[in-house]
Amino acid sequence: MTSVMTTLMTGAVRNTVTTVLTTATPPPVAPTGDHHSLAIVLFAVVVLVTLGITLWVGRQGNAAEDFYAGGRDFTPLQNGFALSGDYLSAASFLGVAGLIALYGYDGVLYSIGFLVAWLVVLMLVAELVRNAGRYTLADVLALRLRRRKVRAAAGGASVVVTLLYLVAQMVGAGSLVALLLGTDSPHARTWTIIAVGALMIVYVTIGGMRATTWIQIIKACLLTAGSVLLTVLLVVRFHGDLGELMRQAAQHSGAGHRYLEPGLKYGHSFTSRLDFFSLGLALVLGTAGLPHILSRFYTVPTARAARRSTMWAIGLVGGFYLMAIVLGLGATALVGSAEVRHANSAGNTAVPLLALVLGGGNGSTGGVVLFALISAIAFATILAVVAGLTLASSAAFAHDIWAGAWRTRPRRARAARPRGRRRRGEAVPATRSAEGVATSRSAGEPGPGAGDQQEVVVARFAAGGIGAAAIVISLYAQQLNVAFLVGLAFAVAASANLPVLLYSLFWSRFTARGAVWSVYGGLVPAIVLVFFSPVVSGTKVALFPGVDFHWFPLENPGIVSIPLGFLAGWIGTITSPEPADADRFAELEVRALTGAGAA
Amino acid sequence: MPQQQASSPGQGQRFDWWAAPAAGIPSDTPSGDPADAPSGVAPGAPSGIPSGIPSEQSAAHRRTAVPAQPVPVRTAPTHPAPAHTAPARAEHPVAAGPEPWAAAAPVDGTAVPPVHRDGPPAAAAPEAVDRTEVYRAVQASAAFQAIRHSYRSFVFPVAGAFLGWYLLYVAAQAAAPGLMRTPVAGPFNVAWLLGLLQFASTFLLTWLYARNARTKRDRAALGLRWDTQDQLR
Repeated sequence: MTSVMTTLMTGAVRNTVTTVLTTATPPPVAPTGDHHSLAIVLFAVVVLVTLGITLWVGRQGNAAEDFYAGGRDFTPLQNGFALSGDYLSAASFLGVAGLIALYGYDGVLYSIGFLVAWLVVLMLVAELVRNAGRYTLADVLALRLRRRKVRAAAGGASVVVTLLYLVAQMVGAGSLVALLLGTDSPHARTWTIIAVGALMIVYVTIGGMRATTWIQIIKACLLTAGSVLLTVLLVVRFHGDLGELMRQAAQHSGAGHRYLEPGLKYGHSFTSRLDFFSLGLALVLGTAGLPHILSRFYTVPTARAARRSTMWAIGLVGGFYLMAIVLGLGATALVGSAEVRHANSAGNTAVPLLALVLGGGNGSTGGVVLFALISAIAFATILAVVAGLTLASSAAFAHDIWAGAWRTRPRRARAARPRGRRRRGEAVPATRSAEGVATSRSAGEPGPGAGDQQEVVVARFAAGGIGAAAIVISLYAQQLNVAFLVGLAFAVAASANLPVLLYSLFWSRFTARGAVWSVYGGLVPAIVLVFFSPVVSGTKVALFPGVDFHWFPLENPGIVSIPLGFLAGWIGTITSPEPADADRFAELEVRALTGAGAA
Repeated sequence: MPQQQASSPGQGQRFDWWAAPAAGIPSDTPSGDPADAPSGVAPGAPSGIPSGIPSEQSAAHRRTAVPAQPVPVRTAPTHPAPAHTAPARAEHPVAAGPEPWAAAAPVDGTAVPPVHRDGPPAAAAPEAVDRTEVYRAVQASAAFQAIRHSYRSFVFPVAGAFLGWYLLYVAAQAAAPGLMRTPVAGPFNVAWLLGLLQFASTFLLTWLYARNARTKRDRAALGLRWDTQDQLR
């Protein structure tokens, strides 16, 4: 088996390009390397189908509600699939199974944080955010803290989080697609990143949330079907004896019984254990602050639907990770850790290799078809996730930073200053209050429709700009570790977005200063600590391997930056010169818990 | 029926004139209409206490009536129908016990489905309602406090429990590797057992939360939602 796999991976590189050009469908008994040509055909099908959906769905509406929230008419089941589609990135599908294939139990440990995090989303965030906001996370904050600064801070943090996550996905996509297509040249990686980036820009600018959601749904169905298929084949192969599967996995892992015990990956030293604890904290708290997950709750009509879609997502994500554990063990048992590591040092190809073996081995039609299918599913996964991220990022930019914070500024200087003076002089506070409400509700603009249209145009351009930025950053960040980038995105989301969100929803004394401090108090330490971590300097695999200016020992800043985010919000609030606005909190609380006036 | 709601000085003081237009616009309530608020509130209007939300109540309650009201049946019979006119509503913030909206079903058992919220309000021409006062009044109402209590008293302890259980589990890998290696059955050890228990507890808590929300909060929240939206129009 070893030799088969080795020839597979080396021979594949040479044969792919020629076979692709000559044969569209593989011959009954495919020669080595031909599984890539079928994979390419299926990739093309995925691209065509998703583009078709985008064009078809993109015509259904152009209002802001359509672009940001998909018209809010998805069912809980659909949105549950879309949520799990957004969440189960290629890093999960291939990465978690690969980690389990390489490190056994420690990979399982890693996957559990991703699942438990959904309880935070379900209980503390989903329904309240659905009721209180319109399109983005910052909407919820703006409901009770009507400050441009708050919106700008929250929008900025959302853009940072999504951009980090986006770069992680695209870097992963580059190496992964190149690998699945059987080539390892840097050119292939570069062009893959550019192509994936271009596709996601097309999806988002043309299709908006509606198309993105449908792509997620299709991807989640494919992913679930593929995982179930492989799991069933695997379990049948072991005659349903999971104990035997574990024993064989341990046997072929090269680590013996230690494969099934904690510590193979994260147990070398106290620092690495602490690092994993930090990562675990970031995973479990970060999900509830991920903008692309939060904005999904606006695609359903009610908070109850948001809850039910979260429940679907928990079922799908949990079921998926259970299957990923089995598949990871199976990859070790049938392919072997050494082979998996040889094909890709991060284990990312463990599942496709397992598919090849389960289908009948290299050279058999079944193996070729299964390999191609799983590769195409991974590709669809990548496309769907980057599209979701780009959309969330462009929404944060257009709706929060541009429309919420920036657009209102010149108006303030010209038109509103005199009004303010007059009010200070003669009007009684009652008028201020009433007019203030009116101003804020009518958005102080020519007409909500016109403003919304303008905003959507900005959002489409922002999607293009953010996509382009992500492509460029990804091209320069190709050597960065994908798992680290994902962990960092979760850490920033947990440090910058979650504290301010929870404080806003639950703390009556929270003030605007507390919100701004909370966002920056989590965001800045997270970024600074990473900059002075071994990821950036001081080790052989660092971003700048030649220099050493690191003093923070951990790779993941979560264990420090998340408490700092909460602490900064608390200090900012208690030192705030102005008291909390009880009226705004009353409105937020009533709306969040009852759904009154929900968009 | 004009509703001259007072807006209290001091409550609007900290309003940020510039910020965030979009967040507060409810798509389905006419109160998003910019024309409403200024026209209805006279400058220098009397301030302070919620002065009662007048006779729109009857309409409000009719639309509020959710079929099969939940919990507080005990309060319903003791709550006479006339009490549901305007003065009664004004007392709701201070009335301790009963969930006012819940008593609506027996009162006017017409039970119009909540979807009809956009139907014509019986008390016509509601001009301006001070949203702030409405939200303050609803927030102070016993019905809302019951929902809030039922939500928080479930979610906070449970969230603390599962976060603690997860962090304990993660910390145990570092702190007690020996314990985690203890075999349970065949290749199965304590670490795997705890990991699978994490899956099980996640599914279990999801189900428990959904059941709690469905049985304890959903109807009450929905009723209060239409009630609040009626007051806001």
